[in-house]
Amino acid sequence: MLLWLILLLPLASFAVIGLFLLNRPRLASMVSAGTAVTTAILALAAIWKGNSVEPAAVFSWLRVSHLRIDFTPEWDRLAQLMTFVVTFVGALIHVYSLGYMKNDAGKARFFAYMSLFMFSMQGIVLAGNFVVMFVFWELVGLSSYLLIGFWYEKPGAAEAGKKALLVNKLGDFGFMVGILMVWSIFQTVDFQRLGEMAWLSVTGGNEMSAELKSWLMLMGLLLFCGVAGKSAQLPLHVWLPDAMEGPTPVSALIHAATMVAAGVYMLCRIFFFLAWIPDVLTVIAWVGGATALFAALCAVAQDDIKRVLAYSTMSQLGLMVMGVGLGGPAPAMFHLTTHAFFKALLFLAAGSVLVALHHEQNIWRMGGLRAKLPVTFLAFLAGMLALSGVPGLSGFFSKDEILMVAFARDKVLFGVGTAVSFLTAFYMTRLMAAVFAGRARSEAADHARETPAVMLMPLVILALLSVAAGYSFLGVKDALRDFAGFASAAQAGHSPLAFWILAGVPFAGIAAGWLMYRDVSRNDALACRAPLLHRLLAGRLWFDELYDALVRHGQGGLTTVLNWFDTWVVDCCGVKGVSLSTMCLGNLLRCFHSGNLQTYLIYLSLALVILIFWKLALF
Amino acid sequence: MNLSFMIWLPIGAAMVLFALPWTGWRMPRQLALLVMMTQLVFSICILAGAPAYGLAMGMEQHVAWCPGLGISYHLGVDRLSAILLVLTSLVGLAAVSVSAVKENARYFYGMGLLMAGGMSGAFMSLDLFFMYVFHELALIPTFILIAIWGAERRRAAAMKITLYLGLASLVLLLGFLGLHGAGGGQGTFDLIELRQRLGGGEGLSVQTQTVLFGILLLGFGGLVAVVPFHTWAPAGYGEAPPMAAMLHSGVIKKFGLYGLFRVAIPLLPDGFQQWREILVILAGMNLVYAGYVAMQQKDLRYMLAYASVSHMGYALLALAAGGAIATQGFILFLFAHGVGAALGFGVAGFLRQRTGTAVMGDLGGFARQLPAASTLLTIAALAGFGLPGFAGFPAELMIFIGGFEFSRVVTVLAVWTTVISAVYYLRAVRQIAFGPLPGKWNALTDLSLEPKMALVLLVAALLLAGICPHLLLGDLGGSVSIQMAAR
Repeated sequence: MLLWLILLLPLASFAVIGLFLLNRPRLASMVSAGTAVTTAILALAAIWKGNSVEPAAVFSWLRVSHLRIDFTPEWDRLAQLMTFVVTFVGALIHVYSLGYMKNDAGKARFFAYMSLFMFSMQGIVLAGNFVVMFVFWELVGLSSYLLIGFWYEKPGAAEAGKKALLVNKLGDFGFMVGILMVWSIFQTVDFQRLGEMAWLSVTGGNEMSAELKSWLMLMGLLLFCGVAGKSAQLPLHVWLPDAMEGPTPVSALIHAATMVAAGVYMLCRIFFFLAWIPDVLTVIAWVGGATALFAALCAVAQDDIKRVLAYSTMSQLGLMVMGVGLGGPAPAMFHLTTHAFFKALLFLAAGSVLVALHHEQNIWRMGGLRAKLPVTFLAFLAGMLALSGVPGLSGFFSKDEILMVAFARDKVLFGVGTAVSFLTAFYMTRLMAAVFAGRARSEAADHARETPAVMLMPLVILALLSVAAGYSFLGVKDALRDFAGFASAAQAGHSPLAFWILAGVPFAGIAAGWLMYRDVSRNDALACRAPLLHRLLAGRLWFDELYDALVRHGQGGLTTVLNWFDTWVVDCCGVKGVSLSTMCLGNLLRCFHSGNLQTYLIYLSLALVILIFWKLALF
Repeated sequence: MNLSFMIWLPIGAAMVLFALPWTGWRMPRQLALLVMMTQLVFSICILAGAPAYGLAMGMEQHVAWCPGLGISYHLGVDRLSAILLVLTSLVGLAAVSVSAVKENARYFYGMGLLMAGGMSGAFMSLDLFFMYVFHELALIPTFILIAIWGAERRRAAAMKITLYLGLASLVLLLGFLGLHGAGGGQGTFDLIELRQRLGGGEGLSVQTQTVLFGILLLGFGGLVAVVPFHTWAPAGYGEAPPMAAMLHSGVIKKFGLYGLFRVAIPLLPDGFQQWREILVILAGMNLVYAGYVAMQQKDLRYMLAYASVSHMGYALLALAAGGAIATQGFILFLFAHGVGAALGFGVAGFLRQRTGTAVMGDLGGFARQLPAASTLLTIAALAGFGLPGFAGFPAELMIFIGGFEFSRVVTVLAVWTTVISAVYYLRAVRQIAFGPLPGKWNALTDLSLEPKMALVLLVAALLLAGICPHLLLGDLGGSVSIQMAAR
């Protein structure tokens, strides 16, 4: 019952706002935020009860022949941890949004969509089989689409929403085909039953045939397509930076803390399953590592405060995916949790800056905000230090876990991870220097005032969590202890060499960043010193241009040709040809089809008369 | 429950409209609405009492009509028929309420009633003769509606659709006559009788079956717009008045699929086996080819028409695949597609009524000016590409699962079609609902209450069937033997 409440309350809020409260924005916002807070409290209660929470009722959705798709809320430690992240961060961001969206014309709609998102996200967390996960997977895609395109009159936002949903749909294509393969191989899509089978086939010592192995490999890669779409991994990453067109609380909740992490969550959920296909795990690890490095490089050259954070998110997600791929789902989940706190914090603090600056997003037109926005500054600083992995803060502990696994498994990926750590500290220092240090470089920055308390309160809570979430007394790490796969991370052990490297790199990054961006001017220092490199990175390696060209010339060309074929060959030659050859018939028909209703009625009655007469005549 | 009521109430009402010299438009419209609502209530009652698909027929009525020719007035329903009855009355209700025709209104709404009554009859008839006649009774008003109340190019469109569907019907009649003779002994049109005669051991030779199945496939396939016999659909639906487009794409077009499923496959199982490979290739053609052509359309109605052609491929794939899961997917798909297509054409028709155009590039930014219409358009788009929550998703999922065992390639193409569909549907939403509002559309007014309610009813049906598919399909429990379980 409790679990169903956690799931369905936000849906009820969405329905109530959508049906009745669209013209009452104040009430709508209170309903939505109230639901989010209530859900968070209920979730805490359910987590407190832990595994002893009473088993939830089953909703059987499809039952045809041996296909059974039921929705039974899953409530293991993994689900509990993720529920905590989703509902808790969600509630804080709802409260923050009360301030951020205060004077927006579409406030009621915004909160309706936020509730829809909370419902869909919680659905992913509680999903117990592939199909249910896919259902909610697509629903979070929908709410993300609606929220990115929230200011639909801005062409940029409308395009970005469409792009996000389409790229996700592309990933979901692979996911769906993967699910079909799971079904055709195992005749079930249920995680628990698959888990039992996995156990059987591993302990039974059955040697897999080469064919089955290649099928499993393909299946794993297809399932990973869904992850790549949702968690913005190469090459399906192009939607995430554009998604920053949405309101900032959306960026914080959906495109930093929760939805984009759903991919990592799913990887952990099916890790038992992927673990029998080591080749797939290797591919996953390398995709994650490549994404992490690529995104960190891109973040160095962005001028928009939210885009820097977006690339940073992508980069951190890459690290988590790499962690799972290297056989460490528990470190990945740990990092997911701490990242949710500090990245949500960074986005909310950025939102606070944007409100103070009347939505000026270019970091070179900011500056000197340290004194004007003291609370925001401190919160941002906490988030920045945690993200950079400075020892003592949460980010250090969780990133450390992932990179320790990397150190034990694959030294090259460890190198990649270290480079990412360095770059992270570097671009965050650049961001801090540009936004908060120096002198104000625009009128808006000069007149900035601190934002209201309703927005600062969530910042403070998240800042405290960002600092402290890594320590064991908060229990985040303990939550993962009896979760499969943790053992492998512990086995990896702590290497002192790796520890000192990891502890030192953030300081090196910060120092390098400070040296380079100490004297901020209106231009990027990198652009002056290494213009070619800067262009390469600012252009994000021209992925978007490449895809645009592919769509325009590939898909566009194909559709043009097919449309031409349809109009001139199938329709004209085929149809007109046939109709010409049956001209006589056509003319004959035309006589009958006078378009006159009475005539048609006469035909109809004539036909009836003939039929009846015929029938009578037969007797 | 008397099934005849479902047929003769609308036909009778249509006759009343044709006979009475009403010149106004309100009364005919109100009468049509009232009849459709009654139909909806009755069809839901029938659904509640209908036996699950694959068991016997329920609520049968059997009146010998022309024993010499083996024709009888034989009605009966199972879940499949009952679902299609609900579909007919639901779409009929929505189709009448979005229409605002004022010239010759009594003929216009009378035609709509004829279509609904005819289709109810076609879906309940267990006699091939009556099945054919009732279908024609529904089909002919479509031509008339397009020719008289259609858009600019109505003449050409009406000509094309009449020629096409007329020919397809003719071929179909040929096939039915073939079945009539094939049973041996004195010919019969009775479906149950034919099934017993043809199904029992010494059925027809494989060769005869193959030829007959080919004829039926051509006839039914033409009615469903199987590629390459599909070009009537864009022209017809593009130019048709909204009521005709909704009823035809939503309901009448389903007759071709229904016929293949109800008549051709069970009566000619060996013929089906021979044609199965071709059927699945046709499914792939429809899905991908028509999908890509839909991407290129500039006019919303043409885009929806090609989308509808494309999505017929899901049903063809389900038919080719057979088996319990795909069969249930097929049944649910008929409903989901019918309601979804009607919703899309309803909104498109409304937009054209208001703006005089449905060319997407000319519209834009309607979300602020026309919130209800834009929301409904968005929902039609989301349901159109099979978003979970709407009825299309469970239907397509079951078809994919069933199809994957039979043809991996075409099933993967079918999944790919959801991506293709998302591309053109989202582009339509982007162009029509989002972006800045062009100045010339500043004075538009949104949907009025009545059509809004009717379209919301369609949305509710899509959601209900998507969240609780068993409300429609019945509790299948896994024990129902499906007759077309294919090896």
